[in-house]
This record gives sequence, structure tokens and C-alpha cells, in this order.
Amino acid sequence: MTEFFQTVVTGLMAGSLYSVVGLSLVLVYVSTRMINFAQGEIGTLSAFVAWSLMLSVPYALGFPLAMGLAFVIGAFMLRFVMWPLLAGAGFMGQGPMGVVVASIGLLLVMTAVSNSIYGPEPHAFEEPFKGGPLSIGDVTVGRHNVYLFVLSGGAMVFIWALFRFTKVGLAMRATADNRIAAELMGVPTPRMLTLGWGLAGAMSGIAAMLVAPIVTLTPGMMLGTLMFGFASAVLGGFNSPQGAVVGGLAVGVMQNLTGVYLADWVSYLHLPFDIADPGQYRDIVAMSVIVLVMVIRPTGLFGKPEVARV
Amino acid sequence: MTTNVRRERKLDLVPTPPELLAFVAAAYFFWFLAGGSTNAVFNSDGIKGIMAAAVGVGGGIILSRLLRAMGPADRKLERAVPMLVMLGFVLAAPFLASGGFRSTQMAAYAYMAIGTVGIVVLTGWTGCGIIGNSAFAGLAAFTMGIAITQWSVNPLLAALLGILLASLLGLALGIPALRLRGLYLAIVTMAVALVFPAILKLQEVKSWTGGSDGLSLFTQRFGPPVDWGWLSDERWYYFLAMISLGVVLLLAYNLGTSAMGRAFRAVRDNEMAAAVMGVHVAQVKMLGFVISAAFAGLAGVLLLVTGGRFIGPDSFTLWMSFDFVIAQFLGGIASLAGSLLGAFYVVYVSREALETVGRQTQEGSIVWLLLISALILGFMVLRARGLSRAISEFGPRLSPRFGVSLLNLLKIAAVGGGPWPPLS
Repeated sequence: MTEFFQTVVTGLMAGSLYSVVGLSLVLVYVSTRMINFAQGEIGTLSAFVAWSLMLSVPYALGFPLAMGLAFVIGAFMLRFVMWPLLAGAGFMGQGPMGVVVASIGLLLVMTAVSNSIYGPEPHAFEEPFKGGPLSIGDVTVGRHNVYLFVLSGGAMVFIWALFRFTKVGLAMRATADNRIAAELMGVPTPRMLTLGWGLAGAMSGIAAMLVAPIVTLTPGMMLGTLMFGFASAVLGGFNSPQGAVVGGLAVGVMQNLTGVYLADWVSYLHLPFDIADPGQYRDIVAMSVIVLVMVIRPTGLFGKPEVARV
Repeated sequence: MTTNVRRERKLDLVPTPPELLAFVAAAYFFWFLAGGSTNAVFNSDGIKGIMAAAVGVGGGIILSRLLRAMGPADRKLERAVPMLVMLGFVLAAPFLASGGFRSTQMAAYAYMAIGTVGIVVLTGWTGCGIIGNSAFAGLAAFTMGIAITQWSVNPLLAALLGILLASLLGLALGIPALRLRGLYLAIVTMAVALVFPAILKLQEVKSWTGGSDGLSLFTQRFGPPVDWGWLSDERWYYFLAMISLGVVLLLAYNLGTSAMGRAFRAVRDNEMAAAVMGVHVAQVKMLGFVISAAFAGLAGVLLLVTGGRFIGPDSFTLWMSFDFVIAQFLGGIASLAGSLLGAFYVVYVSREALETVGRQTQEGSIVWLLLISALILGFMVLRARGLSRAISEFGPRLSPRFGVSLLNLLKIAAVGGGPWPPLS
């Protein structure tokens, strides 16, 4: 049983990262109906800046500064790249794939930017809490994982509270629901959309600075996390923020359970083959489950079907 | 606005923008082919290539202009001449190439173009977003490789088997397409493309796929079936790739102009209205997936045959799918001619430039990457309809917003104030 709890806890911690990235993708999607492949790279660039800042300033100062930078990059990305796309006549006629391709282009640009400034060789990113792993009962977890879980949980609670209790959050929700109606009510919708992208950028900045100590800081380090962020957003429903959070945790737990128990499952079922290295199946099983869920429930677990008028 | 006013017939030797573009593309192509390189931009071989392109394409343009000015309004002939010139060049290219290596590289272009046509058929015509075509290509290539190395099957049969399996995977992926739409579908197909290399690397299939080492068929020779002295292996690969591309284009063109092609576009434009008109929406979507997968499979097979006879799991990553999608969007989302242009851009302009410059300095490669991706973005922001449409309807749409831009001036200088003739 201890092994099981250990696996689940480790999975939750990895999953909280996917949740943060998934939530940032959902924020972008809900506010502008766009998908941003460059979301992870915003974080990477800000993590690089944080790394160079932390050579001279303490972590507690570098972290929020880099987060602010990620916010600004996200907002700029909307205003100067995606906004013209949204406004450009005929562009949306290409369907959502046009935005996807544009954001793939942005992904290349952002990778090139961090590559040209900081180079492709990996850097070690500072862990704020050093020291051995913590033990809670029989379960042991690394200090950085606890920090990661708490911080990403805090970020998600902050977003939830912002949307739930503040006037700005209300205005943002109104903009996402019905832009024209919100505009008629006096909501400055462009500012709200920009704010949505900025918040999403800051979220991916947090995620990147939490991932960096684990995978070492390189220009392409966020791709894996981004892909699983996509997976968790799709699993939870792309238009549901709470869905992205649950989806991310589910993906993380699923990955870890597969890694530990797949061989057992296969032998229980008396399948005619053995699993040599279950760790290889982590991503495959997680992605397969997501595809399966999508086929059964096309809107994801928590997503609302989008009504399209003919 | 009068959009279809025919200009009066007169001997007008100034080339239209599509012709200019074809000219520039051909010049680059032949410069590269004849041994031009970024290290020495104008060596004697490169100049030979440019001269050949200038004489050939320029002559073709002038010939078609003369025909237009003199002959009766024979649109077929008018269209056929530039095409014949192009065909002549495609046939002559491997004999101009310096060494077999260049022919092989040119053959690599065909695989990108074929994969892009597959995306055009599916995303452009039926409207189902897909980012997962690298999985189809990989499945076909690995099936072919395994069939040859493990079961010593005839290469042609092995290739057909690979394409068949890829189509079956396409059929299977078509099932979620019936329920999912837009971005959700694109992401599900992306998930498949994402796990595909991981599946190939599994311990359990390592004896077949070679794990992360991949499959090498160096001992296998896919030589020409006949023993003509001039038909070296490299030239044979080149012709094989170009013939495949031609067949794919012909098939796709016929599909596009057939009733089924109209059904495809009806589904894209409005699914419900299409269903009301009697289009079997599910069938159309499944067919689109199968065709797209088959084309991608052919692309994968060609990559195996022409691309050094080595494939690894990392030959078929998500980036390959991204390449196909970028090529499609650059060329114009639903245009076959555009897919040729887009593939040209991805293979020769971005990748080739990237590699040649990248070998020299890291900074150089990064600057190129930046330029290229900025070009993609700028292009998408300014000209949303892709290269082929941008060429054919430049000007009138741009001018109100951008004033008299340089390009607009160029256009007026070239063809006057009217709209540009369509490319495709």
C-alpha cells in the first residue's frame, strides 16, 4: 500500500506541473479561442532570464521578476502577433488550424531567441530548498517536489480566486462568455483578453522555473511538459479551467501508476506477453487513455459542448 | 469591381508574378542542383545552373507569351506550354546535377510535397485538422523496412504493404474524427504522432524496429529494373520520386474536380448543409483520412528509399508533422499548386539554408531560424491566404490598408492595375 501511496503522491506532484501548463493553455483558449504552441517557450525564455538574474540577485527576487517578464511576453504575443491574426479579415476563415500554425511559428521564434541569447548548452537552475527528501508517514518526497506542488497549487488557487471573487475576474469571464455583450456593458474587452494572455504567460513562467531544476535549463526543455499540458487540457475539456487542473493531476498519476504497476496488470490479465521495462510505457498509456476519453466524451471530462449556429 | 476583365491581346513580354516566382524558384533549384553552395555562392557550376534555368524558364515564358499574343484564344495550349517546359526541366534535372548526391537531395523534395498534398486533401478540403501525419509516414516506412529485412519481401510489395497499413491507421484515426472537431481533433492526432516514436523504441518491438538505433537497409539496393547505362541508382531514385509526385498530384487533382471532391468541400464549408444535400459526411471524412494517410505513407516510403536507406524513430517526430502543416499553410490551405510551393520553401529555403549556414556558425543558424520563422509569422499576419492566393490576388486587397506599398508598385509596373491572373 505504501508503494501505491508513494506512486500517487509522486504522480500528483508531477501532475501539478501539467495542471499549471494546462491551465495556461485553457486561459488562452477561453479568452481568445486560440491554441498557443509557444506557451511553454514563453516560460523557457523567462526562466533563462531568471537564471541570469539569479547570478546576482536572490531567488526570491529573481522569481517574481521573471514571472513579470513572462506576463509581458504573453501580453505582447497577443497584441502584436495574434491580435492581427484575430482581426485580419479572412484569417479565421481558415479555421482554427491557421492559429495553430502561426503559434508553431512563434514556437520556432521563441526557441531561436533563447537559443541565440543563451546558447543550446544546459544550465543548472537553482533549487530554492536544498536538502534531503521529506518523509510524511511512509511516503518520501523530494523537497523541490513539495515546493513545486505548493507553488503551482497556490498559482491555481490565485487564478480561481481572481475569477471567482474580483471584479476584474468577472469582467474576464464576461468577455470570454460573450464578447459583444461584455463590450456593451462597458467592459474594456481588449484589455481583458490581453490580461488573460498575460496571466497565461506568467503561469507558464512559473511552470518553467519549477521544471528547470529537474530537467536542467535548455531552450527546448518545456516541450515535453507542454505536450502533457495539452493532454491534460484536452482530458479535462479545453474550455474548463478546473478540468485542466484535474486533468493534469490525472495525467501525472496515470503516468506514474503505469510506470510502477503495468507489469503487474499485464500478469493479472494473463496477457500473452511480458513487459520488460514499464517505464517506457508511461507516456504511451497516458496518451492512449486520453485519446480513448476523447472518443467517448469529445468535450473532455468537464468541458461544455460548444454550440455552433448554422 | 470588375474582376474578370480580360486584358486585350498584345505582345506583352513582361512576365506575370507567378511566372516570376516560378523563374526565381527554378533558378534557385538549378543553381543548387548544379552544385552551387552557400560557401561559394557563384562558383562555375552554380552559374551553369542559373544559366540553364534562365534559358529554359525564360524561354518558356516568352514562348507562352508569344503564343498568347499571336494565336487564337487557345487556353489549353497556353497553359500547356509552361507545364511542358517545367516537365522538360524536371526530366533534365538529374543530368544537370553535379554528382548523384544532388539528385538524392532533390528526390527528398518529392516526399515533402507528397505529404503536404495529403494534408491539403484532408485539412484543406474536408476541414478536419490533423497534425499527426508523421505517424502515417513512419508506419509505412517501418513496415516496408521490417518486411524487407525480416521477411525478405519484394521491395515493391513491401512498400504497398506499408502504404496499406498506413491507410488502415488513417481509417482508425478517422473514427474519432467523426465525433471531434477543430482543435480537439488536431490535438488527438498530435497525441498519436507524439507517442509513435516512443512505441518504436519499446523494448518489446526492438528486434523488429531496431529500437533507437533504427533500421538501416544499406545492403538493400532499390536499383532500377532495367539496365540502361545512363540510369544510375541516384537518377532512378529521383525519377521514382518525381513520378510518384506526379501520380499523387494527378490523383489529387482528379479527386478535387470530381463529385467526391465537391462533397469534401461541402463538408468543410457546412457539415449540416452538406448532409441535407445528401452527402454522407462520415464516409467523406473517413475517406479523407484514408487518402491523407496513404499519401503520407507514400511519403514515408519515399523517404526510406531515397533518403539514404536509413530510418530511425526520430525521423518521424512531431516536427515532421509540423513541417507538413507549415508547408500547407505557406502554400495556401487548399491549393495543390500551393502545396508544391510550400514544400519547396520548407525543403530548400528553410532547411537547406539552415543546414548550410548552421554548419559554419551557431549564430548563423540561429539568425536563419529566426528569419525563417519570422517570415512564416509575418506571412500569416499579412497574407492570410497562402502563397498561391497571395500571388494571384496581390495588390487590390492590400492597397487600402497599407497605402501604395512597394509590392503594389511592383505589381502595377508588372501587370497594370487589374487583378493578377490565378496561378493554379
